[in-house]
Amino acid sequence: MTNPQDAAGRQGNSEYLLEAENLKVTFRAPGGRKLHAVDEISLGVRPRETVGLVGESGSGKSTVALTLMRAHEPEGGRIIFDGQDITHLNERELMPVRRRLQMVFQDPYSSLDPRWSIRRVISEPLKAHKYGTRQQINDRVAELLEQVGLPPDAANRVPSQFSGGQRQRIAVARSLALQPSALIADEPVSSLDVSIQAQIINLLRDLQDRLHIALFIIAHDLALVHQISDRIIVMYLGEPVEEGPSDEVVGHPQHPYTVALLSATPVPEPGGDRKRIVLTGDPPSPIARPNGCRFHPRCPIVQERCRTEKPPLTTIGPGRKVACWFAGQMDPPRDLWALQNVPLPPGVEPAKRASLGS
Amino acid sequence: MSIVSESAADAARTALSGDTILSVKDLVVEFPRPGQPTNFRAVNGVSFDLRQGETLGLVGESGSGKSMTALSLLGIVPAPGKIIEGSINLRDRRIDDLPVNELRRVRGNDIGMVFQDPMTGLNPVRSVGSQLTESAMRHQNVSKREALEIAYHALDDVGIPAPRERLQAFPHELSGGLRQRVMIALALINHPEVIIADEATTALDATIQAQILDLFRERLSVATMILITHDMGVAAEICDRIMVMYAGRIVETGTIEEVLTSPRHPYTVGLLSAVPKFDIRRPKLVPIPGIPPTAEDIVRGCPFAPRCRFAESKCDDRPALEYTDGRLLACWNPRSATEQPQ
Ligand SMILES: Nc1ncnc2c1ncn2[C@@H]1O[C@H](COP(=O)(O)OP(=O)(O)O)[C@@H](O)[C@H]1O
Ligand SMILES: Nc1ncnc2c1ncn2[C@@H]1O[C@H](COP(=O)(O)OP(=O)(O)O)[C@@H](O)[C@H]1O
Ligand code: SF4
Ligand SMILES: [Mg+2]
Ligand SMILES: [Mg+2]
Repeated sequence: MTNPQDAAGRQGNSEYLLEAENLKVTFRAPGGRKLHAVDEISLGVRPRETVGLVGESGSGKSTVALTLMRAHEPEGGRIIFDGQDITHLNERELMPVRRRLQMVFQDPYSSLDPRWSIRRVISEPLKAHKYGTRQQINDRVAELLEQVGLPPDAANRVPSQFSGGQRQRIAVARSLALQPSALIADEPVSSLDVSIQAQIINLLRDLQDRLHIALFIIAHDLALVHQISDRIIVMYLGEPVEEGPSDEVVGHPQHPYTVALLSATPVPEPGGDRKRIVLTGDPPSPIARPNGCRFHPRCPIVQERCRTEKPPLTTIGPGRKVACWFAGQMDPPRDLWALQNVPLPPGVEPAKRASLGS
Repeated sequence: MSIVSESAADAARTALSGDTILSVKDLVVEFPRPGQPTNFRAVNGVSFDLRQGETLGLVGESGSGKSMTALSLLGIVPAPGKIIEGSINLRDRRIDDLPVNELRRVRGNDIGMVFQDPMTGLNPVRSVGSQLTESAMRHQNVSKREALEIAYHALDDVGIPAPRERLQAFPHELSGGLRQRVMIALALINHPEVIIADEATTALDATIQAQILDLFRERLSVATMILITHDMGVAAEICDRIMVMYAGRIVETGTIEEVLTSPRHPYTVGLLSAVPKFDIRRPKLVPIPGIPPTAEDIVRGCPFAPRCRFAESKCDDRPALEYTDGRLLACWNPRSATEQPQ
């Protein structure tokens, strides 16, 4: 019996709370051409789990998030929330889903209305979902402010009276107001200083532990995503290129793009002569995608076959998928641990410093 | 008024080996505080020497005064901000009190600047080529044709593919990474003695940031450079020496090795621990609690004290920037030096 569907559209036996199957999103580019923002991505976030999505800007991360939130219409694929196919629900039918699936955006400066008091910002979703009396709403606002580490009197102030990090706390408080079971955070710390990023990441980790929410977090910083996620999906030009448990993806990357991302992430460790894998050029345009492997024009180990044949996303181990013709055949990981000067996992021999390709 | 004691400043100078190219002494930059009698000190008594061929990292959170320090060197502190104290010397020449037209010469000839947002440094309505040739003609006394050749080489030098065609391009037609390369080409075109890069890679993606850092490493390995960043990871990539800045002051300096392996100031320790590293144990990140003082705050004592885990009662007095075990530090209670490399 595979995925029986009852009258309400509920799918049986899925372990995932939030799920996307073969999601495909295109936009119309100037000149009428098709922009392939997201192509055939599947993902699943279990209850209480954190899944991280990484990729460069323009790789389609926000489009995935907004499509999951039903802000973009997918051209293909399905979105399933708690067993229910929500891909084609109308706004009214979506109401109960919206309550349980919330989102935090990147820019704490523009995502909060500057004229609104913090009380109004946070209580808006409560009012929209008829949470309760005014007193109950005020109590809930106070509770939320405390949860995100802000003083009670913050409720009476306006966003401009807060720093970027504090504003992001406010945005988090607002997203938690209705006790969602899943939270999508799109680059929640990208506009903050490194010192403040850690505050917000730890806040998200704590809240998740306490409130048992499923977290889908998007970032372009692989080290940060590794730090917080149970599993990671690496995206390039709208498509997943590698996924798996966090430590596996970072410790034994199998796609050259993941290897390059790891190598490119600056870490404050001594050893200035660290070798880097520096990719040439910019990511290509999603309007005119390269044939074959989408990554081939920048790939340090590109072979003839890669220029014409597209490598499928292939399972190479439990929960491990890679889209590269040479997945499993390369041995960059140990080199990488040496490159990064991080403590080696037990049983792993340090290798000599080396870089991929020429 | 200076918080760098005379002895510390002297010691700093004697500790320097290479030729000093740029020397900043007791720099103070103030902004009026609206509705208040006292001004706000965005830069508060900063002194340092920049040696020939070194890459000096100026590191600290947003608002710590890094950009105002850089803009002071170029004489372009935005009004109503003003340099109110201190001196800036480029080799033997004092440059902080030059008339406007001479300052402009310094900016084009002697000090090249790369900003975070290339659109700040580039003119959006003029082609890349015309901006490069204009700068070359103004500062190098060359013909238009020669300037065009110089511009071509400048683009080629910073790794821009098909430089000939790019000369015709407008900044908005280029990707973020290419725009930043153009900005760097413009900063380098007149062979300045000093290059200042202010958060030059902050807005770029990791792989593009790596390209630009690589360019700095390869192309500018012998250049004299100030790299401004809020990210210790970026500083670790290419700097020889680090100055950590907090609330308008230098709080710690040291070689990159010293700062990374044995940070002494609690703020430096904080900046380092906040950066996520690839560690499979995934220890919890250690943020710096709270936020830096803002322009409204009146700071007494050590400006970092409200956020410092190691603050003691004596931290109510301001610690001077002084040598402590061979390291320039402004802290009453520095972290242990035992891990220092021998
Ligand atoms: N509303 C839209 N209309 C047209 N193109 C869009 C729209 N949103 C995103 N895109 C394009 O889709 C691609 C993916 O964008 P995005 O999902 O924002 O990437 P990321 O979040 O990874 O930076 C980009 O090329 C972007 O320009
Ligand atoms: N135009 C201005 N008016 C008032 N204060 C300013 C102005 N520009 C900068 N400042 C203040 O000067 C301080 C230092 O700023 P800046 O040098 O830009 O910091 P950094 O580059 O380290 O982020 C900040 O606290 C900022 O608020
Ligand atoms: S399939 Fe080929 S081009 Fe694509 S990532 Fe693998 S080696 Fe590189
Ligand atoms: Mg995005
Ligand atoms: Mg700045």
